[in-house]
Amino acid sequence: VVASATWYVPHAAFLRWREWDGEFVLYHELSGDTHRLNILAASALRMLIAEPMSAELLSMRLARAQSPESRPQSPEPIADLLSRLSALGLIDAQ
Amino acid sequence: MILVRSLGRTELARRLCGRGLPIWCGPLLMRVGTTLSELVEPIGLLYADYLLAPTDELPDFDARVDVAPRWRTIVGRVETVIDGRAAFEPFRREHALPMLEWAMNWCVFTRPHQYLLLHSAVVARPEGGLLMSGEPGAGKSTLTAALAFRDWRLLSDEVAMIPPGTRHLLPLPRPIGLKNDSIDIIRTDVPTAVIGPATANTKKGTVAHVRAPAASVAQANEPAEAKWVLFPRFVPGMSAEIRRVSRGDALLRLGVQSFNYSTLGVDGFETLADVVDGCECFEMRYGSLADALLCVQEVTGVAVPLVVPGGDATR
Repeated sequence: VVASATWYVPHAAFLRWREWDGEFVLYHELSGDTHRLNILAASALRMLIAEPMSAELLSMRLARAQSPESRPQSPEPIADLLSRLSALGLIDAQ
Repeated sequence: MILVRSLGRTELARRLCGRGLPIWCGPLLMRVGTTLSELVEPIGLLYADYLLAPTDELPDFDARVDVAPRWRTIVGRVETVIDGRAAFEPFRREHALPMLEWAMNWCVFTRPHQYLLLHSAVVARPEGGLLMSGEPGAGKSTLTAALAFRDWRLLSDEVAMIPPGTRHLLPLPRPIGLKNDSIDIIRTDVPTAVIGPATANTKKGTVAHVRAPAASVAQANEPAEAKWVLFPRFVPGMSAEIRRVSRGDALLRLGVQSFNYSTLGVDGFETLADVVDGCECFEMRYGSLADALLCVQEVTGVAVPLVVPGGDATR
């Protein structure tokens, strides 16, 4: 993960979402892959769809949006999350 | 409306030996044929209650078992022929009946892509349909057979067919394939079940097919709405255990077991998501048929009699 990179969702229009009880299932029309995301990953993805941003800004926005007990304690979880979403082909860095 | 049972043995043999016997099974028209005389009676027995279609009607698929040509294999072997073409390797003649059934399964799994196809057993009550999905050996067919003779309607023991954009489970009530110990379990549990001849030493062991209940075949044009998803797993000696499964987990597990989820693309996803959206989803582990029946009762809230008249489900 490049700390200074701006992350974005290149194919947001091709993502189909379903949510059940805080669990998200995502279908990527272009890859044909189906993904299950927890609420943190889904929130991050939605924020990046709304607006491309850096890992640092995303971390701050997520912390603000999450309840205190589920806030990430350090930037590492966000870096790891971005890395995994990128590996799945859901986000990209510019 | 002519049922297969109305044909005499000679006429049945003549049709099977000729172009084949066109029969309706739910939305599919299957044409089955063979030149092997020993298959006439088992086919007549297992398909007695199916509606015959006009001979000039175009079938969804045509499956038959015939003697393999001598240039293709050793003398005496037989082969499946699907839509006029030899399919799979020739095999021993005594395996012809299960091979014909498996060839028909193969057609059902690979042809009707106008539906989302899930590898799942399906039974239904007026309250809704129950999908049961699991790995081979999970006990789906045994449980399906037991439920089909306990006031649950058999839709299929192999495939859930769902028109995209709906939650309808289309019936395809073909004979239920049992293997090894399951054959005697169902013989004991449902003494009235009509079971075709057992075939030993197949790749799945000893196999036999249970005739679909006539009432289920008669209602083969009536879809059921999906209401429950169950992932059974037979574990010898284990007492019953039920656990709720999240809908997301159920979607992924059913998708993996689908024959054409990827083929249908977004329609497959949306349809499967709609199905699990309207269902309660569970997994269960069990060690006996009686336990499995109790689990189904608990999951669905529908009373499931432990014993059918003259039967014993305790094995």
